[in-house]
Amino acid sequence: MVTLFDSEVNPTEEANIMEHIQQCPNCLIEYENIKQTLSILKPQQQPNAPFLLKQNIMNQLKMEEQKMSTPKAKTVKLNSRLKKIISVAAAVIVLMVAIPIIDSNTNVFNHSARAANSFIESSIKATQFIKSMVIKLKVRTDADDNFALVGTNYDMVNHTIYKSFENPEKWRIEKSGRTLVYDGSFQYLYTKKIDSYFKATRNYIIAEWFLILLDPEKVLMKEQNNIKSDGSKFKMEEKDGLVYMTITSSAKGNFINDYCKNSSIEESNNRREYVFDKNTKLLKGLKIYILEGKKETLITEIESIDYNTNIDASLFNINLPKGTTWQDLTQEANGEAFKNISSKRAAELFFEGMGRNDWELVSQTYSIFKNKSDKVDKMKAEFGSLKVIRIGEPFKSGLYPGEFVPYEIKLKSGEVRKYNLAVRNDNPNKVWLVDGGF
Amino acid sequence: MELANGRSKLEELERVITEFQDQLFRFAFFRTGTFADSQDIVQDVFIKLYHENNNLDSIKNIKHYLYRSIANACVDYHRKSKKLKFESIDTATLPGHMQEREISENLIQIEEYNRLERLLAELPEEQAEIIRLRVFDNLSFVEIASILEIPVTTIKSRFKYGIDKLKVGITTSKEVNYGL
Repeated sequence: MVTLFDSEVNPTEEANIMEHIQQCPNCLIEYENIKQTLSILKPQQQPNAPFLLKQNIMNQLKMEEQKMSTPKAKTVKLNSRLKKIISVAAAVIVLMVAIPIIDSNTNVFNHSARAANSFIESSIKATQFIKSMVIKLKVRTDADDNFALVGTNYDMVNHTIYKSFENPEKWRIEKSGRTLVYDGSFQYLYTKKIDSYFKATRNYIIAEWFLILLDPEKVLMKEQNNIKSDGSKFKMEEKDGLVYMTITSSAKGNFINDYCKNSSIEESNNRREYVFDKNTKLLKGLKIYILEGKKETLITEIESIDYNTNIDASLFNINLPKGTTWQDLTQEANGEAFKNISSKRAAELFFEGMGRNDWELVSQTYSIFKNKSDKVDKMKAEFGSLKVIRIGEPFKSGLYPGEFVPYEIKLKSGEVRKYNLAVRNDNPNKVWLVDGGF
Repeated sequence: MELANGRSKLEELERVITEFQDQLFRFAFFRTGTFADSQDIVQDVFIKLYHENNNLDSIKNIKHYLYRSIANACVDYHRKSKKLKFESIDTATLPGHMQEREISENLIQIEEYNRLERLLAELPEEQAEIIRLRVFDNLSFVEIASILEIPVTTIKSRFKYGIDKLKVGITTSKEVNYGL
């Protein structure tokens, strides 16, 4: 089995082992367990060598060779302080392409260190006076779906981001179907369509791509990490007191099945066009395009950013209606019926449960059905007593950590629905949880 | 000096650096957890490679040679860092704001290093190192065996024991979809 997790696997051997695994439940569990453990061990950040590493080495060796011809000269090794300055300089120089940086013979480092100093100081100064920020932007998405979801066929949906930089930092992201608030301690999410209230710790990933906009002064740094790690193309221009930064990236993820292609910015070939104020280094605008061959579709556009504006403190809270409780997203999933089975079986159980109106079973994998609200009752009425027509073979796509299970069901209203159920079991108990798609 | 392939020794070194610098830097980073020291280690190994070999083409497997060199340098680094009681005056004299900025730029990656090391701390070092080589450095079991000079079967069994031990207790934060 370990052979499957080698970076060089004989295809025939792999096919034979996989064939066995598909027929042996114990091996399947073992296989999934190893896969799961490895996915957690896979570094999410892969640092690359500093931009100037190669240049440093080549310069040092060239200087040594030159000095070999002058007997009294000594080889000077760069001290740690200078290396640190160079390291910082390298980071910034990747962005400040307009600054002349490489003089292959002498005094490379003072020049770039000065540029770095200047940039860093102004950037820090700029962030010191920001107390608050309000961003208004449009995104082609479904107002009721995840914040990360985008699609070229969706209409533009208005979003607003509020951020208070006072200690503790607080923020709010809202669109018509969802509101997400961080009150300095916890995140709170309200989803209008299913009238449900969720709570999670600070590090739980809900805001997804929007996190980058919550710290506009760090956009340069974060995008720099992207450039280093995935080889995105980068361009920076200065014009009329504005700095234009354009980054073009390829879609990330597994697209053997392209179901998730272009469903988020990361899973699309895309171009991100940032505009910064040259003096303050503060973000002033952003446009993101999805690129499909020669076709470009504007997917996100910042309409305005107001800094240091008054924000009503009540915006950093979501009022919980009486009789409603917060669902803790960080609570461990423990649905026994959905452990140690395949994703396909999990989908079957989910739909069969709804067919029998067994909401206790269904809520083990889709906890929203534990809630008591008119909208949940309406969902139960809609999906209860459904008939399963077909459950297909699961597949993976894009960056989604779970699997998609094709299905066809007939509701009691007579309507036939045919979609892909998104399920995932990347939780400590490996319980399959329904994540969307119906 | 010109090599048999028509390139000068410096040009050949430049090609080698271009090919291996990122993977070697990562290798050093996931064993030291610091950017500055990883840079020092990789830089020193390439300079040593240049000085100690007249013909880079003559090295049988340069990838394995470099990995072994970096691994040895990392062992030396840990040995020295245990003895080092005081921060070098060189690193202590940076302007405060620059250190702050540098820390913030590298914070995400250092946090990730710390997360992974916390997980691997549960394992005997011989198993942890195989997992680093396989998962972090993406080396094949055969390559790992060659670098560590240990039979492939031993590499695979250590990898398996390590993964089995890690299965328990691993937790991670998740995305939330509920994308109805």
